Amino acid sequence: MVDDSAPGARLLATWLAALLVASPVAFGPTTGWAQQQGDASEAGASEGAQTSEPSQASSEASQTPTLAVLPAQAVGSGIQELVPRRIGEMVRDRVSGDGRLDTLPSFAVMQREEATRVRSTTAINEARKKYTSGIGLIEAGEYQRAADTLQEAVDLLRANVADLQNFDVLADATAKLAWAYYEAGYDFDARSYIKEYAHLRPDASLDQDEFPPELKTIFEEEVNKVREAGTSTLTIEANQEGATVYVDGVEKGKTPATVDVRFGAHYLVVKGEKGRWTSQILVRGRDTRETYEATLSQPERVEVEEEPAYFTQLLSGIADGIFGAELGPELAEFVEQSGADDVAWMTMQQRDGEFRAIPFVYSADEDLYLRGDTVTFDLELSNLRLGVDELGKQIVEMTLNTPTDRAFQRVDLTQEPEADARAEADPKEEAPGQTDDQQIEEQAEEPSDTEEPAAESVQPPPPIEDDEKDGKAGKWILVGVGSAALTAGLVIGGVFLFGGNNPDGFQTEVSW
Amino acid sequence: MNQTLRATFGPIIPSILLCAGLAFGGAVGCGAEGPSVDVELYGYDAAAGRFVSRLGDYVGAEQVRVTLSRPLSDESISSQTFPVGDGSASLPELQFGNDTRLEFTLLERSTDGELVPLASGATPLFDVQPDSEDRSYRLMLAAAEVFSPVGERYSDPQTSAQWDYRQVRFDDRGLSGGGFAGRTGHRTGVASGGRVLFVAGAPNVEQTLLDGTVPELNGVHDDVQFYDTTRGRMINLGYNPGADRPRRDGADRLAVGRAYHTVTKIGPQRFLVAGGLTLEDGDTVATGALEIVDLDRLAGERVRSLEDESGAIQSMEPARAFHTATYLPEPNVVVLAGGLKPNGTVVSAVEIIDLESGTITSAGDLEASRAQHRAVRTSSGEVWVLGGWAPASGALRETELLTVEDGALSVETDDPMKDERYGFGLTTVDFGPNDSIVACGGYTSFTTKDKIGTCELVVLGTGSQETWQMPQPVSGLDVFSLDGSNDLVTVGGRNADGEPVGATRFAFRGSSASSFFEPDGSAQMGTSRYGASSEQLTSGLIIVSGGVGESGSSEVTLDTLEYYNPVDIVPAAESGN
Repeated sequence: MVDDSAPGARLLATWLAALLVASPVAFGPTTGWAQQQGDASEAGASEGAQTSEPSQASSEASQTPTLAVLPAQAVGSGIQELVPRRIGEMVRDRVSGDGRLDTLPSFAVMQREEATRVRSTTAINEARKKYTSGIGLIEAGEYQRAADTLQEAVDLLRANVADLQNFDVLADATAKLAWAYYEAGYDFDARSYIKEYAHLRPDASLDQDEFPPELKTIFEEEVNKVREAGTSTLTIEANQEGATVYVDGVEKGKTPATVDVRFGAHYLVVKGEKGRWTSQILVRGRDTRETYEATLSQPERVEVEEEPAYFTQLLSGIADGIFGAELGPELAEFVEQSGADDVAWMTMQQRDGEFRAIPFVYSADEDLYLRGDTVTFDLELSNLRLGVDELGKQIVEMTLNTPTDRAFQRVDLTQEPEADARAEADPKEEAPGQTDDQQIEEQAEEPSDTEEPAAESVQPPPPIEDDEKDGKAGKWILVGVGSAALTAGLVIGGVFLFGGNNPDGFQTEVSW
Repeated sequence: MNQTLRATFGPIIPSILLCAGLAFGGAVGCGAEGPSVDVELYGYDAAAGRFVSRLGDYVGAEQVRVTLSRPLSDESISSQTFPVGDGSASLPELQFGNDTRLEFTLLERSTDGELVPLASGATPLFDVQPDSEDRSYRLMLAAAEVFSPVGERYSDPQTSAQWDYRQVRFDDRGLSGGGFAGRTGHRTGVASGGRVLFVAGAPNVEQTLLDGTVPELNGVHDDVQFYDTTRGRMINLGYNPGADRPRRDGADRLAVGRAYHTVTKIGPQRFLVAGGLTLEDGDTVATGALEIVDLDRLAGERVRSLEDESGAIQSMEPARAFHTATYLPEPNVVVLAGGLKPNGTVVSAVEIIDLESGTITSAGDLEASRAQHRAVRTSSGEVWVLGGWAPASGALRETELLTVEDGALSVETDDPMKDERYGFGLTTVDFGPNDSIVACGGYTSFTTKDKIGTCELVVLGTGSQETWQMPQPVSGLDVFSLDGSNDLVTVGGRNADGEPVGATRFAFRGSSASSFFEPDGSAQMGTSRYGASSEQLTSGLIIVSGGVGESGSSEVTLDTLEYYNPVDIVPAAESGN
């Protein structure tokens, strides 16, 4: 039996262990992102009973609003789906980069992470079952079967250590495995695992009555070794700054991080937006310095099921262009599942030869729908960067301040007059030297958080090469001539549009 | 090199842009299409006794008929039919217009080979013009001439990527009194866009005869909910679904919970809630509280007390229930007339609420005190008050005409109904002279509490014109006139034995026939109930909510809703547009 430093803590640990085993609610497969966070809090609390340091779970708590940004939706016909999608992704990046909000990843990423987490949770739950069975087998004197079962539990826990909320399970299973191996006659393995336990929990003590005395002696010798060896200073770097570093389930800082770790075998985990990296490391101690390079990567891709109906309905409701309180049920479900405090989205319409983008924010706490100013883009997206910046800024400000003068009950974008208050982004204010096509190309090279390959890409006009001497003048001449030609084309096309093909009636699509 | 390139690209770029412009304009122009209306259907299969998605396995269905109509002017614009197996259909170039409705009828083949309606549904009325943009609806088809549960869309977020349907119920989350959302004595209204409003009511009532005695309440709801017929959703205004809690400070719920009040439509999305019975220290008392429900306002601001320009809260005097509240749009006032005080006193007071200033003023008295009467707005903008009862005079057949001019009230007696009635059903009808109404059923004697089994046609300034028999005497019912056929439908109420009554259809035989109307079929509710509220939707369906029904051996209030579908589609040529 594992004995913590205080009798009270031991009793609590015993109860917690019993709870782990007895409570399918607490440790059954979780089913939603928000529930995941709730479970994390529970687990963090239980760990907090045995360590004063922040845990992986408790570190997830945050005071800043959590914002989910939905994919931008095209309203009405006449606009390519790709345009709002790409601009929406850019706006999301702008919002995320602002830093004043906790911006959730895209729904596709959340869904995949959830599927991955569910797989990991399933594995951890399976490990818990095996751990419990192993204890029973030890008590029944079936040490060989206990060793096999506990070995499987430890292997599963190790494989999913990045998602392990209660690290004590792994530590305790390691001690029990040593015991089972010892009783089954596998002395080498028993020694190895009891030493590992001493590295993980040097402040613990083994129950005299239950653990074999020889194992206890090995444990105490190894604990003394840990204490004598002292610590090493570990420098952990990663291919992403700001990724969180955990040692044996306890948060130690953000990359690049420098932490002191005691001698022995430990579990090092680094988690960030680019993925995670885990390793069982051997720390030498004696004031040595060691450096670890963590290459974060996404876990093996898990096939996700179809998007749930509430999400697809939410998007189609926005795309209808008529929305407000009637989106409440879908938004409520999305908020509950995602754990977001606020939800933002953007609509885009093509009117009068320009794109009109409108940012919206839903404040779940206030149940308020907020609408920002319309931002217009010309069809060439010449003011792309400023427009994206303006949209992102509005979303952040609306999320942070919940301005009630921007609240609405219901909007009908399909019936709105052509002219309204707009916050136009002036293309003349674009940074010099950066052409529109360069911007969109640069953005297109950014990894999409939806990770869906674009079926097509925005095709800007071909880049114009110019000499240094009179390049600006030549460029503007070309642009002027080109614009005149484009206008002529639009006028001629408009004759078709407004003169000869005015619709005679509306059309109805019915499905049953 | 650069010079060469510029020389090469110089002519090309304008050419490219010219072509692009031509291609864009031409493509859009050549492909110009009007706005589209997308409709997805689901239904309740009465034969199978369950909801069905997208009607793929609707028992007996053979064809779907799609009709464009303007029911307010009895116009059927076009109609086409499609095999059910097609699963979808496209109808190009339907005629633009206002107050338009798309009707969907699922047809089965009868034993004699005719295609007859199996189920139907329709959009709410909508306007569609060339510059309108796309819109979409998801509509329930209800089985023809029977009651069906009203469907609610839902999905298990963890397991289902598809929507399922179940019978909708009042939302019981965040109720002030907690617990069950069943109700009677609630009042309803129909907002534009297919929203049906439900206001308050009582979760439990001791005395439910409504025969002139005052109901004894055991509780009152203060919630305001609406059902969105085009999305299949019940929304409780006072509950914040995003935060999963009731709104703070009691926002978006009534200041005074109540039952047996009035709900009067005063705008496309605005309603006045007036008076009714409430509870004070466990006693049933009347309230004079006046509150405005405005679905167009922001969450948290949708329900508020009526205030004048100085911010003073207005209330009725005397407080009362079983009164009438009639909206007159031209002077923008609501006329409150008569009513019952909990001590059994019936009042004659008439009050006028000026919605511009938010003030209520005492305007005078009815010629006869009355409660449980009816009132309608005439084509000339007066208020026509009919029937009711008072202790001294008993049941009334007298009618009065109230005129509001420059804020002043004038009252004159009009020709009476043939029979004394209170607690009866009333509807305006389109045939015959202007300002014709049909009154059906009700109590005809205050002393004996006898119920009456006739309907009568009453014309303003002329009095009762025609009387015809109902299958049985019924009180506490509603009557609706069908736009297309001029048929009548009575819904709900209790017969002489106190048993709940479903729906009865009366076929219009013409104003020159010996009897204008004849009973033409009846239907039982899915859950027998009385004390329910019924509303006729612009889609043609009648929605029945709440009421009292049996659960085991006891009576309880109900939290469910049903549709009655009196199929009333104006026949149209089968040859398309």
